[in-house]
Amino acid sequence: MKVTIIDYGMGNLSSVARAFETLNAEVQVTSRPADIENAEKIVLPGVGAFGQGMQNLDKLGLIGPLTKTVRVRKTPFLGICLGMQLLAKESLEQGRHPGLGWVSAGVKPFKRNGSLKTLHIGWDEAVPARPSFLFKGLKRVPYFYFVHGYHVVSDNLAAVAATTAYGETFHSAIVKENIAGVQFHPEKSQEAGLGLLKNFLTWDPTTEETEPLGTLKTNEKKTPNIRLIPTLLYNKGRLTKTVRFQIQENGIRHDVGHPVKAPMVYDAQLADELVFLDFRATTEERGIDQLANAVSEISGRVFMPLTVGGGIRTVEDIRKLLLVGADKVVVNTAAVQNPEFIREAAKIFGSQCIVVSIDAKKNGNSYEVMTHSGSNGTGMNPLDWAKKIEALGAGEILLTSIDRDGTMEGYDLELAQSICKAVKIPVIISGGAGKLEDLALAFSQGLATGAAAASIFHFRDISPIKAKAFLNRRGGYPVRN
Amino acid sequence: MPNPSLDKESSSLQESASKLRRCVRCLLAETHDTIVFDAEGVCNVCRNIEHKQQVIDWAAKKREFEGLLDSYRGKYAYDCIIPFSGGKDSTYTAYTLVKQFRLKPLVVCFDHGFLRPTVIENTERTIRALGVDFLKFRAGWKVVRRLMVESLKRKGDFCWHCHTGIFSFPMQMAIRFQVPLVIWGEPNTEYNAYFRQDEQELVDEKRFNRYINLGITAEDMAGMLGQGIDERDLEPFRYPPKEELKKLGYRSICLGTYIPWDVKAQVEVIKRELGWKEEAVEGVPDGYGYEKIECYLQGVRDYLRFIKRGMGRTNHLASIDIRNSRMTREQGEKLMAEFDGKRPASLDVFLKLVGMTEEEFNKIALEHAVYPHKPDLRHVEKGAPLWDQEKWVSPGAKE
Repeated sequence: MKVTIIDYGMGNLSSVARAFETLNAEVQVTSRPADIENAEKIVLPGVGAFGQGMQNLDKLGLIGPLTKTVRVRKTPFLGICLGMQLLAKESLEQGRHPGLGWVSAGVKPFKRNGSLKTLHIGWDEAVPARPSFLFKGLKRVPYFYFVHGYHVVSDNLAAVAATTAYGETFHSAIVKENIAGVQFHPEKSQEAGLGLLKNFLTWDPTTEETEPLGTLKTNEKKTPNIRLIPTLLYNKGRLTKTVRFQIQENGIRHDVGHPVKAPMVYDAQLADELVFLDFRATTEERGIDQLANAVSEISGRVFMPLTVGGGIRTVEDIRKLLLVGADKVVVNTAAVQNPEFIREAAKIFGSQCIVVSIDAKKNGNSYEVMTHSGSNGTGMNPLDWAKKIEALGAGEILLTSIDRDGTMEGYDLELAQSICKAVKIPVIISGGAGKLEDLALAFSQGLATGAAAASIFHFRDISPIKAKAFLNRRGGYPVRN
Repeated sequence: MPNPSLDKESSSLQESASKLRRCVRCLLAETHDTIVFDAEGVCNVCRNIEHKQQVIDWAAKKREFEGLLDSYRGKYAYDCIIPFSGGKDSTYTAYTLVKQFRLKPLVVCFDHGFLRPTVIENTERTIRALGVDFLKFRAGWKVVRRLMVESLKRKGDFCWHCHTGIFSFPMQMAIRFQVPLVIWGEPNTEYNAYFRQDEQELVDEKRFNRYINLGITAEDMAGMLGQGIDERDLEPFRYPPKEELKKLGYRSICLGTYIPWDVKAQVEVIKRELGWKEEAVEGVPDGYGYEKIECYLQGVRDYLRFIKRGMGRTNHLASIDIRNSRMTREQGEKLMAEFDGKRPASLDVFLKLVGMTEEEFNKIALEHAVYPHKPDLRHVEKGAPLWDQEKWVSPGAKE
């Protein structure tokens, strides 16, 4: 089966291509109108801002051929994330922008709602609203990976194929005749996602879907799922584990694994996301090429969310990393040196894609933001910087306590809580997890949306799946199972 | 439920374990990996077994298995590969597949290096009685020794070479002999909950990475060992590349997915039909001479588990009997108190083998105690040596 993936300069192309390749599909990645017209199946992926997406499609002269092929010739079509949103009539992201208008729908931001973060990042259930090819063969309500600040509201309720609750209930999948769209990332949703893409490969819209929904069980949950995120520190072809940001030249912390095999392990252990950092890239001035090569290899092997950083300085760096399979990028030194870089990057790639990392060091009773893997002071305090980062349009904060890093003494919960309370964007906290209880405290006391951890997974007989069982046991911690 | 008495100083290894929350039906503690208790306080392993006993249509499963075998029988160098340790489960699997399902298998044994005399004799009898082709492999001791120390330090478990070798080596042989079907014994849902009930447990790389290999692949381990390691030394422990397995069209399944697993009844069958003999195990009451008799370091492994999790081998065995209504919980508790948590005499053998002092061993073990267990090693009862301990090969710690 052949799949034509549209390349319009908007992100996660290679991840989508590789997911289809894994399913033995013949994959064509193209931006040529002729290829689109001859396509058997079309996929419009996309990470980034709505306006930029439409502008790129227009500039490449693809809107006409796409409309003709999909609307007139009725070629099966799947839009993913931004690719789904572009089906709408218009979007309110960064102003008002017209979309393709193939579905009677609009794109809106999430309502401000209490302590709920304004971006929806993480795993959630897509609850089928009616039978559709998307969920064929599933035995339970599937979890998918979402990363978005805006969502589709369809006026045509008959087109809604699934809904998801995040504060409000939104339309997370639509199917209308030969047109399908999903807000989540099937190419990053492990087995459930690959199952959906497989269903797309065999989808024939001309035969009506008759398979009844059956009795799919859904978990009743009132709060968003928390995320458990292994951190992998990449260093010259291997993984290492620092203590207070220092590489340990001797002992078991020096080498903690292979950069592609370790992610495969975490994938199997149901980690929710991976943070993968070439953490010395800025200090050692090596740019992002080594990182990009590693990410490219990883994303051919694991189909889960990758948050990637180290050495990022330019918009081109970000584009390159997204292209090889990153879902979010982490910037630190570059953002401190030029805060406008955050705004620029968010405008092009969307806030949901830009993570700013804050490395905080304790000086007496206060904290200081550090750059260059903890070696340079900035004079800024983390709280002010966090608020500024949010105002500039970052989608998420990765907050690391330098003093706790690698010590396994527990997270700096005071630091975590002060930042998590102050911003409306999600915060991943990092540094210090050493026992199962620390992971629970990250959420109950630290108020984090995600807990990143390394030593506890490297040097204890603990894995994400075991940690999730622990959190289930404790109760009150909604996790993806 | 957090237990406030945990923070008080405890006086013995047994006593510190008694503070853990346990399933109200079996004896598993909250430190058991993947355990979750439901509203009634019953653990998910007990619920899985209930599911097995009540929901699964075993007659249909068996028909499915027959159909599956028909598509492999007679088409390759062997009908299937049977990974084999000589223990009760793999012996029963080999017996059933040959005698009942009439397969011609290649029986593959990954020898971890610590096989006990009785197991070696049992294996000899079994392969002669079944008349099967048999292949046994053992990895080089100097590498194995380093692997044992490294995985003990990192994961509080010295058996990495065995976990990975047992599951990788037969898959490597599947490729080498071009035999796509590999049939294992019991599925893991018998003991824990790494897979949901609606997932079929395939014995593949995902399962290997999820909980078999302690989160460490051979490629990870190569760099962890550092200097003096030839990458080829790790080959026996490396799961074969997905591409090669895919090309072979491999299928790696558990017999226990298709027939209900009943350990006690199965042991009677292999004793009767194959002359399979039971053997004593350290820290285990009489009547369990069929379980984990393959390895002379089992006592050390169980002791380590007790330090980490407050559960020993008797806890595990009694829990299985309770789930199968062969024992009451009270009887199980009594046995557990009597037999679990003793320092095994085989620890001396282990320490000499790997070149480690008991203080070093204890320090590592304590570091790996699973929250909220706080083991206390100041007062530990000593266990008696097994009859065959003096027969075990003990090459010493010299490189």
